[in-house]
Amino acid sequence: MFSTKKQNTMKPVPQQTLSYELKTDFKRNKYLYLLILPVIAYYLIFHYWPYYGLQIAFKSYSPGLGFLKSPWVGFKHFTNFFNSYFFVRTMRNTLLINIYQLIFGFTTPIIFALLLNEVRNLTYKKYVQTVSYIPNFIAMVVICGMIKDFTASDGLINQITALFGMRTIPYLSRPQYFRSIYIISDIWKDCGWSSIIYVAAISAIDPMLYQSAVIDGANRWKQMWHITLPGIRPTVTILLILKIGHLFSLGFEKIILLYSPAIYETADVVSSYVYRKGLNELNYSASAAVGLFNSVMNFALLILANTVSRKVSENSLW
Amino acid sequence: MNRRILRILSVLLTVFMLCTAMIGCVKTETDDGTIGTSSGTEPKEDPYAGPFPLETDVTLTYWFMMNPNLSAHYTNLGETEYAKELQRITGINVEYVHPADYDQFALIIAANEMPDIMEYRWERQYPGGVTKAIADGVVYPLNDFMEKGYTPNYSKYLEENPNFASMVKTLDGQIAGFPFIPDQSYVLIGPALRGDWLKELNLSVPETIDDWYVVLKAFKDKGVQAPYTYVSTVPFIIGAYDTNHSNFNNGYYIRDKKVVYGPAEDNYKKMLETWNKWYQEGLVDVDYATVSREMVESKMATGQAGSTSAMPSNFSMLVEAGKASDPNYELVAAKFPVLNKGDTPRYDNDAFGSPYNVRSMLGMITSNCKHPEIAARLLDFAYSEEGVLLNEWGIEGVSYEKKSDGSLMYTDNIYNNPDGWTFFQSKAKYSRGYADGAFMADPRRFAADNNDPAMVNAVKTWSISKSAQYTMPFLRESAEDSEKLAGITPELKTYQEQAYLTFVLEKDSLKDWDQYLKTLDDIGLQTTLDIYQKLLDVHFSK
Repeated sequence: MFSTKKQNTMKPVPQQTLSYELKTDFKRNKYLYLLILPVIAYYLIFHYWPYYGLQIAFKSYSPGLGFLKSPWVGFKHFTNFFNSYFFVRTMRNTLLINIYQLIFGFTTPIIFALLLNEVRNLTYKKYVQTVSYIPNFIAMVVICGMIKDFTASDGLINQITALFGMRTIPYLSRPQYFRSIYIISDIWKDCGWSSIIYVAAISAIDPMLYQSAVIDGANRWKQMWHITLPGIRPTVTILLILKIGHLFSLGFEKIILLYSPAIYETADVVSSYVYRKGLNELNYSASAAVGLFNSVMNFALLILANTVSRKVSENSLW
Repeated sequence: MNRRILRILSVLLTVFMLCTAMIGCVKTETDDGTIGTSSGTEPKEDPYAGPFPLETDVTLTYWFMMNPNLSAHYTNLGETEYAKELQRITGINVEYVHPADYDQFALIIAANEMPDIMEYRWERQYPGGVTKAIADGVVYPLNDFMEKGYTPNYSKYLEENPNFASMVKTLDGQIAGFPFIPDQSYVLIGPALRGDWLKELNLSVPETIDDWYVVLKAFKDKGVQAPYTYVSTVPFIIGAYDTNHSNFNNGYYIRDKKVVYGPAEDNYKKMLETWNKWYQEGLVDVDYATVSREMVESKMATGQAGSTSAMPSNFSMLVEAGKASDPNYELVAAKFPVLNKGDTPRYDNDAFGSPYNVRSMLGMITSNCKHPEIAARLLDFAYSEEGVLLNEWGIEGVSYEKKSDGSLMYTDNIYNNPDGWTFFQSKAKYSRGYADGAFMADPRRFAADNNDPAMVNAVKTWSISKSAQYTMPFLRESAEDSEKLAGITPELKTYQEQAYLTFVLEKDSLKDWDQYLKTLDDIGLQTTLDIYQKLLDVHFSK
């Protein structure tokens, strides 16, 4: 790239074979190749090398025997999981929490960004934005500690409800409250931060559009509905596809920080099950099998969502 | 040019030779899990078999969880007088590693980063127990070291106690670790309530379930937020209904030579009915499902709670803390409740089981240890007479002294510590006699430990029990059965724990009882019962 012309003029091309092309390309752009090397290495080491370890999902892995010597057991761990009591429960909980998050957690940042866009006082707008980002920088452990404090039987929420004569409820030991607590705290933590991308997308909309709409007599509501929203639609679609691709996955950190056996019924998800199975029960193979199954489901969903989106709207990941 | 090549070649050759020489020295693990030393490097005279102190500059890493009595004044066992004395006697340098919590155990093994020695309840915490840990190659079996004479004291103990020896051996005769050998077992947990309140309310110490109801109700009416509080491991009323909770021995027990799973019995349902009623009426802590031990102790000390399941040490610690807020503070131990006055209480507990069981503390030499012989010598020391004295009593003349009649007594350094440390905290400075570990207990210690009449009384009160006839012996299953159990037991336990809490916390939850029984069966309860029955039949036929 740096000296393309010079080399071309100096050496006439004898053959256009692939290997020759690769060679010359490599020679010409060796510094670019060098630049990208760490990235390739990163992917090979951290994203492709682990595939080698995936084989333990089909084996009865024992640390003493290692990857290669552990005996093969085929799909035993998968069928065990499908037949187990935990299959339906963990899948249902994972899906439900994700769907609620999609409905409430995905829409709030959009609404928040739209509202911010309507704020005319710039100082106030910046202030609100900054404040809304702060929770994102608090560590998950701290957040969960706060949630526990707020929902404790002598916590803030119970003290307020007690003023109205309501019974004390230990929210985190009642399964029916878990999902709400999870979603609400998630929105509180992520809403501001996730809205950044929409604010950016809104600011990229051509101001001329608004001006001409005003001339045509559109009020603020109509402007939002007909200009702002369509303007950010590609962003929304892409993010939605990505989100749907993760419908079957939910990080275990927050779950295991909040749950207890009393609320497994609604709080135990696939990843927390994998965590318990693998790291508490040392059942690595069964744990890997469940994890693999979960990833395959996610992958299938992502492809499905992308295909649907490509057909329905014109936006898609690929 | 030629000379340069020659030079490079010679350097390469040297490196290569060095490498092979080093490989020759490295200990190799053969397929059957025994330790073999590559030929040619076998030392003529074993430097590690001689008497203590050994001459070695090897430093072993030793993993175990700190007891609160130890962590009160130390950040590492190595700082204590005990560790210095142990180093002086054995000549072995030890670096102690203390995990922040027990979750680390599984993580360390998963990452294959085991320290040389790990002390933990291996039979229970390693799925599949010691048998599986050896099969997985995580720990060394000791047989080789025993034959070569690295463990004279422990071997001697096993020879003299064939019954104990038969329990620590796996089915194929391997011995894995250095267990805690208790002298005699005591029930170290049981119900305790505020004696001053009982007097104030003109009530006597409750005996039956009905008595307890009256007492707890009276506490509630008095304005106590949580009349009874404890972590949700086990309901203390369980024995009154003549059954067993999943917390002990996973819920299994013996009735007329048959294995029974307590949590699936009708009696268990009756227990739940009472327990649920108490919870719904606010007699049991509203935070029952999530409360921690620290919270329990703070609630008890501040008068937010009126009764709990206590340990003997609570009678000094808790009372001391409680007197700060209420000078009349008094804690009394109660017998485990019964249904009808005059019945013998029952509360299944390790104290009634075999001396070696799933909860036994085991010091194990992990496969990462490069000098297992030295580790074996170090651990074996604890089973010598000198070792027992150091582990249980500390240093003669400093922490204990021999009386003229041969009995031992702690010094005032321990009983009335000049720095104001508690009894157990001061013991932690000189010994490990405040908890279990990879050593042998001294039968003389109990009397010296419990010189406080309240403690002695509590242990006596709680020990009144008919549980011994119900407790399962320690059974070892075959590798095949072990794998089956490893698949079912954790799931059964997870589900049962959760169902138990739901039954307690939710109103009218017992209408789901049949569904619960069905789920237990679906998970594989019957399979586990069959396996245990089979093992038990073999055990009884011996």
